[in-house]
Parts: sequence; C-alpha cells; structure tokens
Amino acid sequence: MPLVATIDIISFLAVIVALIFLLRGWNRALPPDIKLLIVGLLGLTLFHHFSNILEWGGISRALDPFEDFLELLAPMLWFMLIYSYFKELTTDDLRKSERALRESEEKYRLLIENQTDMVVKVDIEGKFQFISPSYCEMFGKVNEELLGKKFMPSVHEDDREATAKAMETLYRPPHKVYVEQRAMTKDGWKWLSWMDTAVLDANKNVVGIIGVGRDITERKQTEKTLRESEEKLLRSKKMESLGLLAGGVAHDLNNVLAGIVSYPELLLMDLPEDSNLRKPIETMQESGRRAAAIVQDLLTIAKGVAITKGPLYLNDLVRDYINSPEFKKLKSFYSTVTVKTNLDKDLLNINGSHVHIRKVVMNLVSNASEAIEGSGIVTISTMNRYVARPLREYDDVNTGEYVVLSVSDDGSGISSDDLERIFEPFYTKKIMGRTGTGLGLAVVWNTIQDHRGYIDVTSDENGTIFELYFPITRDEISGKDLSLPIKEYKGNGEMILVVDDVESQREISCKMLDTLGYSTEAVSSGEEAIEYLKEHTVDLILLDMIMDRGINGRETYEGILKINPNQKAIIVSGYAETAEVKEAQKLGAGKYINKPLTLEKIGIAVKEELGK
Amino acid sequence: MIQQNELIMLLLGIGCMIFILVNKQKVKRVPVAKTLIAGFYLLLAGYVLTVLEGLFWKDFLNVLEHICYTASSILMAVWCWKVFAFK
Repeated sequence: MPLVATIDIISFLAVIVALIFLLRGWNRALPPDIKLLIVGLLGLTLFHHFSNILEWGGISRALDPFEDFLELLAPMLWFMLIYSYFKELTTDDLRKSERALRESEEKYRLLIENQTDMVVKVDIEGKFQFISPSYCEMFGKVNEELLGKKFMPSVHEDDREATAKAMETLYRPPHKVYVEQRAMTKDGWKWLSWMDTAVLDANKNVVGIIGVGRDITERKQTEKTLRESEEKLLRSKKMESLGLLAGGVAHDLNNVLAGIVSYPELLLMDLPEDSNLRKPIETMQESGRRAAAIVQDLLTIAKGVAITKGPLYLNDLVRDYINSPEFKKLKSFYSTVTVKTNLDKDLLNINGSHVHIRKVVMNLVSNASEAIEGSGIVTISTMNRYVARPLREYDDVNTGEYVVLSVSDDGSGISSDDLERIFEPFYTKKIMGRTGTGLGLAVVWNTIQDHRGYIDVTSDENGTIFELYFPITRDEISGKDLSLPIKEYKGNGEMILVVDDVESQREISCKMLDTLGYSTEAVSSGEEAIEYLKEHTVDLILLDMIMDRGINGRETYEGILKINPNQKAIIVSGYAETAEVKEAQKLGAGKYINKPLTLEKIGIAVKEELGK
Repeated sequence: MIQQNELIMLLLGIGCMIFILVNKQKVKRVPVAKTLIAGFYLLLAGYVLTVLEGLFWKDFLNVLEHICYTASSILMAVWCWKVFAFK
C-alpha cells in the first residue's frame, strides 16, 4: 500500500475519532451553530480522506467530481467556525459587560436606596437632576414632583444667603463645601447638613453639584441644650462668686455698721426725751438701719445664707405683705398701678423662710410696679403645680410638686439681653441709689436657690411674668415668731463672756448686755477664752464665729467643752450661717444671731439660751 | 499544473488566516485554541503544498501535503477530545 494511502487512512481514522468525541460530548455548552460547523468540517475532511482512500485503492473515482467542489468548502467552513467563535466571544463579552454594568448599577442603586443619608444632584441653577429615595422620604414627595424643580424654596429663609454663598465656593478648588441649613420637610423645619461636591467637565467647568445630606436636628438640639446648660452653669458660677464677694463685703460692713446701729440705741436710752441730740441720733440710727438692710440683702445673696426655714403658707405671706406699710408706701408711689391677687385656696405649704420670701415678693412687686409706665396691673398669683417631666425654662425645673408664686405685670417687658443678666448682683437698669441698688433680683435668685426652688421668667412687649417654684411640704405650720417686750428678756446679773476679735464689737456687745442687766467680761480670741474659763465660770458665752487671729468659734467651743461640758453659748457672726456654725450647734451651742446686733436680738437669744 | 480550485482554496485559507491574525487576542480565548489553530495552519500548509506540487517536486510535496492533512485531522481529533470528552 502506498505511503499516501496509509496517511489518508490514519487521517480518516483520526476524523472518525474526532466525530466520536464530538457526538459523545454533544451536550456541552457550545452554541449549536459552532457544533454544526465542526460536524460539517469533520464530515468534509472525512469525505476527502474517504475519497482518497477509494482512489488509492483503485476501487472507485466516482467521488472525484464532488471532491473538487467540496474541498472548496473546507476553508470556508474553517473561516465560519473561527468567525462563529469570534462572534460568540464578542457577544459573550458584551453580555459580561452588560452584566457587570447591571451589577454595578444594582450595587449603587442599593447603596443609594438603603442609606439614610440623602443624595441629590442638581444642575448649576440648583434644579434637581437626581434625588435619592431618602430625600423623597424626608420631604414627603415623589421623584417626579421634584425633578427639574429648584431646591432653594425648601430652605429656610434665614439660611438661603449662607447656602447661596456656600454654593458659590463650589466654583473654586477644592470644589467641595459643607453647609448646614434648615429645610421644610414633611415633619416641619429640620436642620440638614450637606456635603456638596461640584461635578466638573473635561475643561474643569462646574456642570452640576452632588450633595450628600443628613438630618442633624437632634444634634443641633443637643448642642443647644448643652450650650444652654453651659450658660446656666456659668451664670450659676458667676452668681456664686458674686455671692462670695458680697458675703465678704457684708461681713466687713457689718462690723463697720455695728457702731452706727448699736450705739445710737444705747445713747437714746440715756438721753432725756427733750434732748436736742435725740433727732440727729435717731437719724443716724435710721441711716444705720437702712445700711444694715442693704447689708442683709448682701448677706442673702451670699452663699450659705442664714435662713431659718419652716412650714409656710404663701397665701398668708402675700396677704401679710399686701397689708404691710411697705406695700402701702409702694402703692402711694405708683398710684396708677393696680395690684391684684389671685391666690389658690387649696394652696399647699412650703418649707421656707418667711422673712426672705416676703422680701422676694416685695422686690418682685416693686420691680413690676416700676416696669409699668402709666397705668397697669400687677398680679400676684399662687397655685399648686405638679411638674410631670423636667421643664427647660429659664431654670431647668425638675419633676415634683411645687407651689408656684407668680408676679406678672403688663409693662413694656425686658429685653432678651437684659433677661440674661437681671439676677446678677448690681445689674440694674434703674438709676443707682435712687430707685434701686441692683440687689433686688439677686436676692430673689439666691433666696430661690436656698429654697431649692426654680425661677422662670418670660417677657415680651406685653409684660413680664416671674414664676417662682417652691417644693411643697406636707408639714403643718406649728407656731409663729415670738416678739417680746424688752422687760421679758432682761437679765438678772448672769455672767456672760463676750469673745470677739474686733474691739468695737466687744464693746458694743458688753454695753448691750450690761444694759440688759447682765454682767460681762470680754476676751479677744478663742485661746484667751479657754484660758479664762480654766479659772472662771460664766453662765453663757457670746461667741464670735469668725475671728481673724487664732482658732475660730467652733474650735473655741470645742476647747471650752473640755473644761466645762455643759457650757452654754450663743454664736454671733457677721457672715451668713455656715457649716462651722452648724457644727458648733451640734456640739451644744445655742442660737445663731447675725450682726449687727440689736438689743432685742441679743436679749431674746441670751434669755432663751439661759432658760434652757 | 496548478488547478483553479486549489488556488481558490488557498486564497480562502489565507483569508481565514488573516482573520485569525487580526483577531488574535480574541481567537486565543477559543477553548484549546492552540490545538485548533495549529490544526488550521497545518491544513493551510496542505493547501500551499497542493498548489506547489503543481509546480515542482510533485511526489514529494504530495506526500507532505497528505502528512499535513493527517496532522491537521489528528489535531482536530485532539481538539474534539479536549473540548468534548473532558468535563
């Protein structure tokens, strides 16, 4: 057999094998046209080799005419096969690209649709080109309602200028800007923050703006609350430091005033009724008392004010004030002002200081009357109020049961700037020394603080309302302040040791006690007092609490108790009642009296303590 | 002597080859492309030899032509085996 025939037989067999593989794997994922082309190609090759084998075997040349024609098909089929593959791959590439694009779109669509932040795109005129579902949700609108519309009308009028300016900066590198604005959403005005980025074309021209927005209303609210709390804390600190200052000043003034207040009283006792000196001395005494009243105001605003609290019925206090000479004097001064009361019949008691709250009412009514130009009405109201949840007012009012004392007027109101400062000591719009000292509302504020109460002030052009919240008490009112005639508190020669570091104070105290019928000795320090009591006994010690030199009153009393555990003492101080005073009282000391001393004050206190 | 149909076959084959060369990167992605393309080139070599045998070395070139065809058929069988028999 010739070599060529052998080769053709091998080729023939190879093609048969190829066909077998093809048919066995017919279900493979190949396009049908490619499979058919391969079949055609293999069939053609098979025919070619078969024809050759027949020819070489001398069996037949009958297939020769077909062979020439069919052989031409071979390269065409090859081309078609390659081309079909090429087309298939191109289509496949396209499909892949489309799928990738779809996946990418899906990914970004999911990102946009499922994020709480809002995403918008606007053109350079501010007209919406794209709006995320979160934006539509926030504004309660559908896409079609917003597309092509400008965003600016939804922005708060006060924020439009700032927004427009921010948008202008997008035209300059880095083409980004952060802006906060209020916008009218479906739930009303809300604070939104926007991070805007300019969309640039190839020539770096701004062709649009993409904004990513977020609702920051809650954050703004928190910031506002924090700021207000800081302001309140600052105000409180300021009041505290001013109180400390006032307390210090008051102490020194008290010592200075002692001579003016106390000596005239003693002098008048010795002067005959027809003495020419009586009038000037009485004037001195009155001036001293007025100065002492101012000092008392200062003491009230000092930290740790000396307050004796007890159950108190505010309605009685208001009525008491309305019938007082002070009120009548005020009425005569502001004759065109009508003062009305609106008192709750079922008002609960509070735990408070009658003297201080009376002063509060007096100051508020006085201020309210003064705020009215011409005729007007001042209303004093009382009511029970239950605060179910904390109120964010001028003060933060905690939950609880309160008695509210309200003093309102229909005057011209207080400006918001003044409202921030009205409770500061010496802050006044009045003419200093003529109509006010600037201490009235400071006294109010401090008194309320000392009563663990709250103040709310609201003011507009129609007037001002002061509301004072006092915590209620269920305790009943047990008794009233004693007021005894002088003979009731005169002494019987009992021995009293006066301990005071200020010489004039020692002299005044001794003089008063002598006048009241007591025997007195005086020492200038705690150490001297202890030494004195080691060798002498006294019925009572009049003990100054704050002494510049050596040990203080409490320490002195501790030392004295070691010598005489039953030693009676009363505490005197130019300062407010402090923790040291209370500590001394715990040890056994009696009543606390503040300077400047009067015969009545010192007499009652001494008599009470000796009577124990 | 060169026959007309042999020349046409050759021209068609060359056209196909040009197409393959132009789209080389994409054709490479056809499964087991090297085997298939090698099979085609051997077939094309057979066409060339068919034309050449009409000019000189008739017997020798004829044997070579048939060898090229056989090799092409074998590569085609290998290609079918790799593409259709393997999973």
